[in-house]
Amino acid sequence: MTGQTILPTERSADRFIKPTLGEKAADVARTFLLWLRAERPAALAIFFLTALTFIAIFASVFAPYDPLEQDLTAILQGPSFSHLFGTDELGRDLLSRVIFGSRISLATAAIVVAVAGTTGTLAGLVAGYVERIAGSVIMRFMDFLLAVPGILLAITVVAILGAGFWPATIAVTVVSIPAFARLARASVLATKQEEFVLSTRTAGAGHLYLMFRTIFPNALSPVIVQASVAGATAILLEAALSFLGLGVQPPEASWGTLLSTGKSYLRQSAWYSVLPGLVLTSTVLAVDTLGRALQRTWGAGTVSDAAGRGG
Amino acid sequence: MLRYIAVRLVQLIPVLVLASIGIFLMIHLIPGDPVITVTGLDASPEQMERVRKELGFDRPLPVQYVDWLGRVLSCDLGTSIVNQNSTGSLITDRLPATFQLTLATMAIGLTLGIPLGMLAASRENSWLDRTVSGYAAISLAVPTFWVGILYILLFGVTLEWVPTASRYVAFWEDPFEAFKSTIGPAFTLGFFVSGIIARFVRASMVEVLGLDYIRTARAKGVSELKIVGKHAFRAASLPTLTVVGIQFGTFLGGALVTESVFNYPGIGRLILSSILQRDFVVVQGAVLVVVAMFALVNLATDILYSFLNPRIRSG
Repeated sequence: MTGQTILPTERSADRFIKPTLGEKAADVARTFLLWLRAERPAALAIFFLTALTFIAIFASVFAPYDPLEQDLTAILQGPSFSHLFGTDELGRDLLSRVIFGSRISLATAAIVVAVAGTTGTLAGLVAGYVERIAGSVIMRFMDFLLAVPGILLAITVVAILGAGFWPATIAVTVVSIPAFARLARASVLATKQEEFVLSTRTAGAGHLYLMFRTIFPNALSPVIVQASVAGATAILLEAALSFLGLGVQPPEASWGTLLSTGKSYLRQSAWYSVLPGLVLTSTVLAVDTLGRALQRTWGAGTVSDAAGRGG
Repeated sequence: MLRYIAVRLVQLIPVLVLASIGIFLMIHLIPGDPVITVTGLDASPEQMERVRKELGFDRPLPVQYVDWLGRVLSCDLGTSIVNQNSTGSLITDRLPATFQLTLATMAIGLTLGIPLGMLAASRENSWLDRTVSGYAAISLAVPTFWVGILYILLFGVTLEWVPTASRYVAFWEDPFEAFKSTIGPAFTLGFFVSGIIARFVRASMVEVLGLDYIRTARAKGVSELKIVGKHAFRAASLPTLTVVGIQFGTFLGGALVTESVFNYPGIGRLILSSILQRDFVVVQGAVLVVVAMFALVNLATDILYSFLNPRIRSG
């Protein structure tokens, strides 16, 4: 897709000089811009997600009202100029609640991707590298986690820890680990016997060097693709848990909680359950689109993005 | 073939034993004294001790586990500590509803997904192909509970065609009522599955359509409809089967969220309410049944796959 791009290394080899940091950055930026031009939907997704992240971080600036401020004279109203998304059953501004809710969804996704990505990838690297007892113990444990449907596993973890933001985040993290482990293990097994690994080993490289400097870089692109898939799934799972009342507790609200209360007022205010759902779906779709574009670019195998969803 | 099935069945045993240990431990990690569930909060310590003894909760965990496993093997999943029903009967009461929902879901998923995937593959990279990709992307990104809410909003509240809450009506008792009460959750889940199926059918057909024998068939003048509909589809249906099997197994395990949205009385709702009520006897029994069914469906898919695929059958 970026076939016309001149690779930075080629050009610097021509000149027999090392590119400066500025040149490197310029090259990266140009490659990225070319990529964005080839992957229009991904560009749109990045724009959407950046804007959303910005809004989430500065929620108190962007939210037109205090998300907890009640106005019992204006309950369950439809969209209007003063309340773009309408109001909820206590007259709170829904747009403000959706904006503050985005913090929960994005934070969950970020934490889950960081923690599950690191632990899962590490576990998979070790399992693929050691193979013997440690490897099979790790993978049997992952198999067990995979044997229980995702949402069921998440609910059980929440039942153990109690409802709330952190329990829900931990639950979603647990559900997300095995996919990373499997992926990392598979790419270790695929590259372990390659010439370049064997020669590095012959040259006297230690286990840690082999694992992290020689093998791991080859597993990086599928892991990044999986990270975006896991991020999207995390947003969905968090919303599902909140929808069942197991996520953040009132008066705070995540998108899932809004939809769950909105469902009780379908007759009075349809917008209540339509608009938060639209924002939620667009966010998941944007993360998925980004992941799919990366997958196309890197040809990073098939990552199962349906796992843990539905139900 | 029989040997293959037997070997696979035996291999299933350690997996299920491990799963049972995992489930047992997880359930027993849930805080809150189950005895309080039975006696109520204002019971005296002596009373609670007596109930604890009666239920056998005073024994060490390994003993409880072995005892539980032994009873499971003789088909006794224990008695609910909330309502004294036997777990077995609670599960068998809910199974038909979940089974009917799963079948309806797969029927909708397949009737939508297969033609969409075939269309996309036969017109690769056209606007049609892109539309189908977009459809699949959306079906995977939309939370099922929101689809359910939109369905209720449209057909239940606005048009008033269906009741806003589902109940279970067996298909053979009253097909029309059964249709009306199952179609909501089935459509919600079926929409999700149809995207996965469409994508899989498309991917495997695109691969097959590039093969030599298809070119030969085209050169011989076989009609495009026959090439796509018969030659290519037959080859592409095998990988699709695996996906269908996995989804089938998952939904048999209960679609907890969708069943909650529609108040549909399936296994998922049973497990969810039991977890929330800390009725861990029912939870561990039901989850074990779900995991076993999931494993069996996967096994059945594998067997069917090798039965249909001569390359594996001989090997």
